[in-house]
Amino acid sequence: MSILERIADALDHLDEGTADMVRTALEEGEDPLAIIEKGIVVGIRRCGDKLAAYEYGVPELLVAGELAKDCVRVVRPHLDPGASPTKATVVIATVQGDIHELGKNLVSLLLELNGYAVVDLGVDVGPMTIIDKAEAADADVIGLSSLMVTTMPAQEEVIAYLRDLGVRERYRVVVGGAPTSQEWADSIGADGWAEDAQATVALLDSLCGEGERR
Amino acid sequence: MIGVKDVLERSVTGRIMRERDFDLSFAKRLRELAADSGVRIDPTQVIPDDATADAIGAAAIELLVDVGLYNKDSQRVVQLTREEVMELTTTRLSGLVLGEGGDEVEVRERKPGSDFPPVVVTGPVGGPFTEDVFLPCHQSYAQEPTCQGLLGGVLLRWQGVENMAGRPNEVIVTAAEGDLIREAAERAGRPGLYLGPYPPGGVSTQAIFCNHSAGGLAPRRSQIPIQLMPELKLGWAKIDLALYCQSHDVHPWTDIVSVIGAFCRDSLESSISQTAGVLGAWSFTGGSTASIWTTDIEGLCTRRRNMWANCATTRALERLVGNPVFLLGYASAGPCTEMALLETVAYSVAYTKAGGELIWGGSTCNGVDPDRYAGMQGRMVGEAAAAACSLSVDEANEVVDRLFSEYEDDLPHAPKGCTFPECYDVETIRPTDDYVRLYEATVSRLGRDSSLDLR
Repeated sequence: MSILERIADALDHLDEGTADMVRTALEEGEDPLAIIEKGIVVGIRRCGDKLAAYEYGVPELLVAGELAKDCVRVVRPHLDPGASPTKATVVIATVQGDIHELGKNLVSLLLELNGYAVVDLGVDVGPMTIIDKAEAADADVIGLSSLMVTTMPAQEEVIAYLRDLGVRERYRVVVGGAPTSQEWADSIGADGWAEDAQATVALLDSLCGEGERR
Repeated sequence: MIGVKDVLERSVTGRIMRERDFDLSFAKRLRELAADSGVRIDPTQVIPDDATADAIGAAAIELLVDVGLYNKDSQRVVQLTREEVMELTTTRLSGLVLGEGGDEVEVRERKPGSDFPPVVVTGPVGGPFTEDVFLPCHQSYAQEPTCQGLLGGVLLRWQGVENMAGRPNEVIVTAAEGDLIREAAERAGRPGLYLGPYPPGGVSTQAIFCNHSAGGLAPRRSQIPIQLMPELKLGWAKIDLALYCQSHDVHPWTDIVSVIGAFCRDSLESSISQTAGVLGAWSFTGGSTASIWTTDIEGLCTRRRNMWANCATTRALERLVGNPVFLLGYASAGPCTEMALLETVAYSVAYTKAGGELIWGGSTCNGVDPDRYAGMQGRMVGEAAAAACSLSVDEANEVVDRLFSEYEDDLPHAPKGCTFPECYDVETIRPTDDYVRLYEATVSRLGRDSSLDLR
């Protein structure tokens, strides 16, 4: 098993010695970017797969996230100054009136683990706060969660505010939550909808891929 | 005995902890207790035995005593002593009376061997509605002879006002919901029907406070929903609701939801957490009923793992406390589909034989699609619950296992079926011939294929 495969495996098994393994890999002359892409990212993806298979829960992902951050901290000084391991910046919130957070938290966590910088604003967040924070974070994406039919209109409201303020084109807006659908996303002019946390990562990868950024 | 004021006090003096650290300590202890419990889940036995129930009850007490509750607003841990927890198990009511007049029903303590069915409360259970469909659809549930209580849906809009949670709109629209649900009960000739957590679409405390007793609704016809958030969490709004219940002589609807695939990984962990949650919630709600439901991160309720967790919690509470347990059933498929009927039979049989005191069911499409609800689903809850009484637990497990095998693979892409106006005459409130034929055919087939006699 290669050192990169061992790193992926260690992360997948929530091994506290993963960062030490990354240090060893660097000492052995492994390419820092390869350590991230073929070691850390692969390990995190496996953790996501285990979550989908009900083998891991959110707590295991939280631990994996901490381990991955430790690993990136070790690698970062060895990276090309121009190379950024961050794919894009996402501001995410559960919309006003809604205090459900499990789904939103899961999306935040998986995005972070998959290389996105995430600013999680929490629950019951008003439209202007979301927009102000997106501007402050220079966000690429705004993610809006709603778990109730009576708070879905608040997703539409954020998009309306963005339009009225003349900044709609600055952000990709994606929506989600149990009662939402692709039809709903289309009807309110969102840029995307995802069924679950894993699908959100894939959606953002396609929205924020090379040449797709605004 | 511990009460709401103690929990309030501990919410401002308890140990400060970040929510994430609470989640991790909760999960660590839960995983340990589940592993030490010795319980092995047999997926073909959705109704667990006494030993399993006792192991879950014991683990739940340890979890609650060790981890405590978490107040998300003050970010402090509300610690309970073992003595306080044990006292909560010995001081609950074993039954209560709901509804009024000729519609009064007594919720009596049950066990898996009980020869009488649970109380059957049906309705769209939070499902969304357009304005014209709301009243006739609710009437379709209320008019069923098996209906002993009506649980309402949510109006999306009322007379031009969009229902938006947390805003004055919500107060206006939930008031209309309350009026329409009472009218549906009256039109069905059931003016004293129990109406469950009320107003059904009320989410914010202001909407609940404004509308709970509107229209002169007597306390026995309704409850106030107080939900412990997953897992083991409360906040100021929950304490406000508990205080309202105390001052208005309303029995609180203590509601515990557990999500498999989030903090709990499987049915066993979920049932331990859920049982601990019920005990913990009573510390401030002061209630005796426990409304329990388990979903998974896909939002489904009729999977084997969800129903195992609900049945296990019911059995654990029966052995530990003997209080009334209310079990929620949602079908994933929509009205006028065989799948929705099969899902409904599965949970009704399972929850009856698990010893549940009340089933709140009859909803469809996981409660998220507008207008896709119908009273025939409620009829099936009542008939299946009644039929299940004559089964042994082994026979019930067999019936449910067979039903799972028929529909479980289709759950992620369940057929949405019909809207209410497509499967009922909205003037006469009668199901279409197609719907009646489908219902009869399903009943006949289940009678032939299993030991379940729905007639």
